[in-house]
Amino acid sequence: MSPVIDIKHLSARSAAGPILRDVALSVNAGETMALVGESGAGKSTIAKAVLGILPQGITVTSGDIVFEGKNLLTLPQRELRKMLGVRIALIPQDPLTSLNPARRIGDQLTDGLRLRAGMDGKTARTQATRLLNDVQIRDPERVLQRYPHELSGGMRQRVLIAQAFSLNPQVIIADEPTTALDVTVQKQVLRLIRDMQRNHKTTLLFVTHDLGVVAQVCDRMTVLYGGKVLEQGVVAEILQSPQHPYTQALLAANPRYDRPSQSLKPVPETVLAALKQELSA
Amino acid sequence: MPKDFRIWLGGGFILLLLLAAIFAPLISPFDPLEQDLLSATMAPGQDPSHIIGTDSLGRDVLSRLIFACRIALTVAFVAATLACLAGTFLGMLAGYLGGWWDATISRLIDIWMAFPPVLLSILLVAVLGTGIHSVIAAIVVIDWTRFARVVRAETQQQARLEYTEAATALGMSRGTILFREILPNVVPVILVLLSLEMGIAVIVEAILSFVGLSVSTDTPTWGGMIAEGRQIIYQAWWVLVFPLVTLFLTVLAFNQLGDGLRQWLDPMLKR
Repeated sequence: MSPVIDIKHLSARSAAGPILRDVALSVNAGETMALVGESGAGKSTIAKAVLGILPQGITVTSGDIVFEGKNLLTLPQRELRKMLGVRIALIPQDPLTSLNPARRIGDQLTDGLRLRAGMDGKTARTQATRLLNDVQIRDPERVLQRYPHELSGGMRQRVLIAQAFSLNPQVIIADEPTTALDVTVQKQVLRLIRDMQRNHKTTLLFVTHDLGVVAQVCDRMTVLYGGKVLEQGVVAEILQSPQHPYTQALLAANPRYDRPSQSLKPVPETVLAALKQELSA
Repeated sequence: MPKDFRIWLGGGFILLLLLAAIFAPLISPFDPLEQDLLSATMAPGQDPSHIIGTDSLGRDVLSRLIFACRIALTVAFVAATLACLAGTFLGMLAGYLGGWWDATISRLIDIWMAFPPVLLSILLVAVLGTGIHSVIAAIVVIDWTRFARVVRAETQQQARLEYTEAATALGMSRGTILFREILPNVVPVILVLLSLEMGIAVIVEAILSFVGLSVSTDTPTWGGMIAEGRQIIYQAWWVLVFPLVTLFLTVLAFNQLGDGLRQWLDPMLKR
């Protein structure tokens, strides 16, 4: 199977130091690849590099991100913009701030349909209603009239999911889509993303720090630390028998709800020290 | 519906002035230019038909006050709106595009604000010649910086928020993001500034007509009336006081409206 997104030797740095170190990552068509790591591991940086929305101060120093035969890193802005939304889309991290507070849901949802897919206002409206229906929002016509602050966090994330799928992109990058939601809503949203992905046959790059989420929705996973890929493989295998000591420690650190009396286990200092040495080498 | 009484009070007073300006020929008891030297400097109430008296040429003060609304409000609305459009456009460009654009526009603002505004406006009108167009031009040329500065800062802040990033990831062009995504979030600030700027425009117009640099002297203006009243303050205080009070209340109304709008539109305070 040929990869849809092929990232090779990707390195990036900021003024403070390296952010990504020679990352290699390929995502196959229709699969869900998890990017796992703690804060600062570089998982969001990879996602943003693919979308060309790296914050100022972070520069890619080497590497390729190949998508549909084109290197996204050397693609002119104009060409890249044509692909965004239509070929690659984003489900953002924070549903509370990722919708424009001053505009109605309907206007925000139809923007992409009208400006990118060339629909007229009425068709776009009908399509937006259908999209909200797809993400299981009840009474979509009413919701289209609402402002973001009138919706709950879960509703907003559903709207953002609808928006990401609205132009039927081949790849969707989900940047910690459930982190800002509470646990009960998380589950529904995860199931929704999974169903939508299957229906649309979308390839999903799923950024998260939650191993439970990985186990639920992802096919393969990449474990990152300090911008370096530590381990990569099928989710079931890695969760079953992690090879890298950091991955082992990460799995052990996951709280066990069935054994609440057990104290939490942080990643041991020895593992971290070994990692630091590995990174500086 | 805004609950803030300042919006209703300020807005109500401005609406009243607006109606007075539009229907001036219908509601003013006399022709504002009609001289009647036999009934000069009549005190308020001395003649029931001249409710707030007459000036040194026997012209009805109330009628002149009402007609002067026309110049004041025209200048306030037109000049403030034009300054707003120019300043907002440049401010948004500077705030969103950053880099070279920001550097150029910001330096321009800095240089502009180094000039003393009143002197600059007098100079401008002296060069452009008197007349309402010159007054408006002078205000626009001087006061666009007020909008540009604030809108630039606000745009910068909005551009860093995640909804802008989300729109970029959806493949929206920079123009679309600036005018469809960011502009609606900057509008509240613009409205507040616009209201305050109208008050400032009223003052500037009064200053210019006070020194005789506004419209021709036979058109009644508040500034012109104050200038005339100043000369006969010991004989006829009402010629000075009424336009002064009207001017004061008008500026106060615009400021209160602006402050009220700020409270009402501020999303942080609303939540």
